[in-house]
Amino acid sequence: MFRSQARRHKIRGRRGSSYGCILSACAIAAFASIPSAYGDNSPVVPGYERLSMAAAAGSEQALDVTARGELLLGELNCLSCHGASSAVQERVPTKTAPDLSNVGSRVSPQYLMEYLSDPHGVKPGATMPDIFHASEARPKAGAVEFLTQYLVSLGGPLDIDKQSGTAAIAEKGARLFHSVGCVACHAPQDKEGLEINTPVIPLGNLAKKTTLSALTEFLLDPLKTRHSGRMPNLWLKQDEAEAISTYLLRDQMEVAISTNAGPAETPGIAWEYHEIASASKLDDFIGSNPVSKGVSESFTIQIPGKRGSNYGIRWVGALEVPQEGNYRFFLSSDDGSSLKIDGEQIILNDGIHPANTVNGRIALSAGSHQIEVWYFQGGGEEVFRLEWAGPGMGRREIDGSFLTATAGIPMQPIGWQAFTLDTEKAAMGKRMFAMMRCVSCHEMPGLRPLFPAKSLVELNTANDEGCLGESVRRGLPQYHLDADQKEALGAAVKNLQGRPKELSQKEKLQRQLATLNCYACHNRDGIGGPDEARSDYFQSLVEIDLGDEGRMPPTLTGVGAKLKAEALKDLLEHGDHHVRGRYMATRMPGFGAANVSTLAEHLTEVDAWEGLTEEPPFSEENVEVGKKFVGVTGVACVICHGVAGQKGLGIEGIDLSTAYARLNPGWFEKFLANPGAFNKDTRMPAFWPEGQSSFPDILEGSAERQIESIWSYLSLGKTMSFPAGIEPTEGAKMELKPTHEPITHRTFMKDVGPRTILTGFPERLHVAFDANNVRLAKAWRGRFFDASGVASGRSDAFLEPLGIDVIDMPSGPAFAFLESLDAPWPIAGKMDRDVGGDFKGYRLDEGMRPTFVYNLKGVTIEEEPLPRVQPGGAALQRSFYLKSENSPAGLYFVVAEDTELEILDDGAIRTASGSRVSVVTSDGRPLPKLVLRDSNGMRQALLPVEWSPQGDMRFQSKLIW
Amino acid sequence: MKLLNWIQKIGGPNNGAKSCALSLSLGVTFALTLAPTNDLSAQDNAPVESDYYTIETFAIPEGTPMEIGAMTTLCNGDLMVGTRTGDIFIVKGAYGDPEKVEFHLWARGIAQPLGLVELDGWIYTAQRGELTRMKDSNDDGRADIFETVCDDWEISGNYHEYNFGPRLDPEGYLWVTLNKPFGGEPYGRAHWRGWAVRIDPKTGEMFPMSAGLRSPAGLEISPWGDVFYTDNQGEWCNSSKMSQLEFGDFHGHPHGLPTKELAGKPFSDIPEPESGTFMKDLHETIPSFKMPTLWFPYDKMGKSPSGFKWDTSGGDFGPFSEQVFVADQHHAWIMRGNLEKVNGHWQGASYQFLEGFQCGIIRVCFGKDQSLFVGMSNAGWGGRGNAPWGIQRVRWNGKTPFEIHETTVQPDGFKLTFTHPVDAASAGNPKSYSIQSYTYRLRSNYGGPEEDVENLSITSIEVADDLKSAYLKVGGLREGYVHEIHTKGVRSGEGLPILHPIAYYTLVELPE
Repeated sequence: MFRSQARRHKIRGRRGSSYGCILSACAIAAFASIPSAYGDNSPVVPGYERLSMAAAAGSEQALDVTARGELLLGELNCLSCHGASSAVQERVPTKTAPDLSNVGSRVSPQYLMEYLSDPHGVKPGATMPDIFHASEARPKAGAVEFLTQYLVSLGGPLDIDKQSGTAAIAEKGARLFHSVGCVACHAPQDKEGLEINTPVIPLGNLAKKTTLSALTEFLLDPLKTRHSGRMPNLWLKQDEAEAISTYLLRDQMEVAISTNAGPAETPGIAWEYHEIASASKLDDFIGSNPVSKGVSESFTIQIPGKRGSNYGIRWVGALEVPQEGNYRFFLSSDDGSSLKIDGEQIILNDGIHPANTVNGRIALSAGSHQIEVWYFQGGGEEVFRLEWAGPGMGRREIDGSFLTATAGIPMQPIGWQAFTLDTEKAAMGKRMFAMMRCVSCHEMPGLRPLFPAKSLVELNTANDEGCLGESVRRGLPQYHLDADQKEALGAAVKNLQGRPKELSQKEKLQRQLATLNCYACHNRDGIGGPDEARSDYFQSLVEIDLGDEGRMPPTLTGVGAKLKAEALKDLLEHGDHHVRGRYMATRMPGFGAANVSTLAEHLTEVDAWEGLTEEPPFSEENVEVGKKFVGVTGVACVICHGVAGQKGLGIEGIDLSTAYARLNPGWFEKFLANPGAFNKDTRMPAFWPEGQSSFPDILEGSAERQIESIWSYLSLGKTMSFPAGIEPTEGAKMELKPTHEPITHRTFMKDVGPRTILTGFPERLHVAFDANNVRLAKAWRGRFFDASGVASGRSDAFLEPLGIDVIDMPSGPAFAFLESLDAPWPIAGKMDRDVGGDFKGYRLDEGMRPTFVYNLKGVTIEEEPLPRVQPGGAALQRSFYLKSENSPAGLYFVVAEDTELEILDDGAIRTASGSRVSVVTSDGRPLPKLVLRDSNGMRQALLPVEWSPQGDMRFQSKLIW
Repeated sequence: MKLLNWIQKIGGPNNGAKSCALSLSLGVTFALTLAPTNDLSAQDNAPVESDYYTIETFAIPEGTPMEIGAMTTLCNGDLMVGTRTGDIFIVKGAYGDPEKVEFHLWARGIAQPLGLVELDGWIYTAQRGELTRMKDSNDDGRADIFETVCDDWEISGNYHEYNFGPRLDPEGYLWVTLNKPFGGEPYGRAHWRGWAVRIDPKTGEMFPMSAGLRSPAGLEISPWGDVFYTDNQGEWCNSSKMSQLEFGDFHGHPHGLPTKELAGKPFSDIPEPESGTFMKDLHETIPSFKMPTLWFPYDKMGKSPSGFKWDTSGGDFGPFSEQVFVADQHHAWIMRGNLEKVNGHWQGASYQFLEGFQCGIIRVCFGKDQSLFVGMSNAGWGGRGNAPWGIQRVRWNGKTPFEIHETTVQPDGFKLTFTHPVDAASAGNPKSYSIQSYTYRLRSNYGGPEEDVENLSITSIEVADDLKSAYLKVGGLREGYVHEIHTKGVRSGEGLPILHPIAYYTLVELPE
């Protein structure tokens, strides 16, 4: 019989924190190394527990005991020691153990020693077996020492210098730990007595185990050392990973406090240097993360690596006030600045302005006061000075003798002692690593297990001294398996010896969902999802009237039909397409390509139906109709859904511009027809009840065709133009929004130059023309441009496009005369003028669309860039008209350029970077044969200009990317 | 004499170009009348500027950054303005209720237009990278052709590289002044920064005219055809000034001198100036160094002179016909100047005129009804006023303030004329006046003090029989010095003090 319940985990409180008043969020906390109130230290395999729970609850869907045993065989790495046929190995995918090749650089020697001595005492629930469970004390101590020496020699000992934290950072970490998804698998650490009925993966005593920087590095990319993806990547930013690590290692700060190591203090003032795209006031830096940090002697803006515009500096530290009295502070800046003392705003000199001085007064007691100063620079001149005057002290700059920088509370692994590497012992340890079969699970280059274990078929699961026995023999691994686990393993081993029943696709899928612990967050076919206690930790980031849809991860039932195979793969591997991230605090983690490639395939195979991926007809007319339906002019999807980063009118539901890249058209059609059939709790209304449209005059009232038109519109993706009701409010300082007609705008642009002419189109495709080089330089999609780089303040910032999918045109001019096809294409250097011809200006047509005109050695060239809408986003069409008096020979247009070019069957060119360019004549004449050649180390496709008898030529190129 | 000059110049060849701006000034020349005299009823309080001139504020559409950099009155009388964001608006109803003006977007995306000229059916403007002409070819109210006329100058990508103009000279050329960079130059050193150039609008050919400019924010052609510019105090321009631009001049700033080789003779002969030399002495080492027409002593007369205009209203804007109004971007005020040509050099006196505008002034221009449009922007610089941008309109209410009408230099003193008959006793009393003179060095440092300061004594005063002028004989006049003349004690026949009682006379040349 197996257990009727997964083990229950009761979270025990920890004794009062000595630093509790400061570390308030951590006051109640628990070591997650206590997984159970029952003293149970059997290995925690969450997938196995989940499926056992489901089976016990009577689910007919759940894998049977034999299949669950197979799952354990894989998760406990049995096959790493016990050889098996390749058929069996294929059937039982094995989890890889942590990569120890650099373990010395992240784990403390003392922890290694303790853990090797008693893995299940130190970390109850660990899946690593106890190797020395039956060893004599002395040989065991020696072996543990040698192994520790060996492991520390692998990249260690770890660096414990200069690591420190603050209570505020730990509190931030506590919030993140309990919201981004950590506690879906691990135990929450903020509540006493919490009853958890779903699997809890132990963390062990991290404060003893590792350092802040090592844990941070691990959290930023867990798959680097744990290839199995069982600990997935939560896509934390540096500061987030740092904060969670500080929280998890907060006991290290407590120890420092209790031993009076206290906050490290150094003379001077600590600074943080920030860079943002466009700065016009201090609030623009809200949410910005520092680019660099340091400590300087006093307040100076001479920060290493500082740029000339759009940056901010924050100083924070302690000001030592020599004697009690009234003090006046004088803050001079160009541009804005602010001064706070003990959190109180004394001076605010915000905004873009020339150097000016603002002063403010405050009564201060003698002694240390917290001082926080901000300065920011938009553009132009940079001035900053902070002076003060007080009792017996004339106006002067605050010099370093009055300043103390607090570097934070020092953190180092608890129990840390200096460790001396002994190469001889380490060498012994290395041999032992092979001899004890550690290397069977933890692969190590150049090492193999010295004594092979019995093969799987030779195993006697009833042997009382075997791995599954009651008294495991010395030398064999002790897993401390519980009875149910033993039974399942026994069943699996027994059945494997016969002719195993092939798992169905559905069963394989379930096993993958279980081993990766997808069930921690998601339910599929009635299995999985957080229990009641954990459910509270799934929260919305914003007030959003979506009920549980706004905070709980979605069901996986039918997800293989819903999501495009590619999207599913990107989501599982990289967290892309996590479209709920705007309002859902919990993140969809990434599991690593190797671990999930078959999962995506299985989901697609199991859930797909015929015709699911068939695209309905696309036309520009359909796009227009669909746009009307989506807007307030139609069924008003925009009430609940945003478009391309713009919020919906009511709530911030999933952004519609993400639909095409994610969803299968067949699923979309069925979902729109009856959303309740997919999710009975959904807020999404049925707009075509019983197939009846409330717009009978559009597309003959056909629900199918109306939904198809919406799909056509959504298929434009991130470059969807805005439907009625959505007015872009997105907030760069002076954002240009070509919503109703194109905007042509001259400015400075990064990587283009100081004489850039931009055109933004309502189709949300935009171009940049360089009037100095005289060439079309860039195109992009989405948002257009922030004009404030040169049109505000005294700024000369060279800003980048605000949008996405930025693509550079082939380097150099669009047209050039070549003496021969061996001649290199001209290069347009940053400072070059007129390489593409003499710039003659542009004209706008009745729709305000520009045609650029330039003259290259007597040839007048007109170039009209235009967006062409199509599924996946608008393409760029460039129409050219060339006219000349004398039809000169040797003139070429560069169609495409990349490291590799491939000519496709339809004559289009595919570049190595994945874009597609086609070129056609538009004057009825045949297209001259393209020339493929090498130039300046790149492949180039050139179109030779062939003059008509009238001395002109018309053609178009179309770029899809 | 001046009037004659003016008419002759305008009558000369003008390259065949038709500009309404010129015909406008021609028209008013003949309409010149004497300023009307007004009875000043006795007033309890001392008069203030608003007793004579009214400032009205245009309602600006919400959310439109109306940072004015360019302004012109079109031939049809409409006001056209260009903003720093690059919008060009036609302002309808500019002569009516200031709350009800309409802004029609005529063009957008122009790189910081700082001047507009209507010529032969085109609108010309200098952008950062080029001189451009624009046209609304299909008459739908929006410009649709943007032709590059000349892009021979360069820009490095520094914010300070503003291009001011164009202005049309009587020979049909378009003048542009090219600000020098201040700070980093992302695309390297650019040629022609700190130069005044003129361009043939027919061929696009560019001709260097003057070198050594710093921040030449104002550029204007006088009604008699001479070209003047205003320059902002800073390094190598140690007090703000207005100067005449003539071919071959050097104005003191060495930044653009590397371009002199491209410019050829006579520019290639300009040596690097030596920091610390008195400007009055510079001609000894740099013969082409041009002394100012008007110095604007720092802070006393603004900090950043910008656009200026001659009063061509023929008296409809008050008693100051033929005089020049100069705006200041820092003080958000307008100053006044009277100029005279002495020994071939234009010089004169400046006075405060009207203050209290809502923001730093960049441009001024006269409307068809001879009211003065005032375009403003703080443009990232601090200044007086309480708005970031705006357009205001100044109307003369027909009353004549008691002012010094003009100050002219005599071989042995100054002649001051007044807008109203004076009280002979106070105007003839030397204690009613004080005079101080000072000068400046050309320095590489930013700004500079008034130097070699001297108080002058008035030896005698002759008040004219018509009580409209006073001849002050003064000992110790010095060429190359500002002469700051205070008239605090002078009263009008009605007993009123002079509204702006200080004249700043820039004495470069003493008449024989």
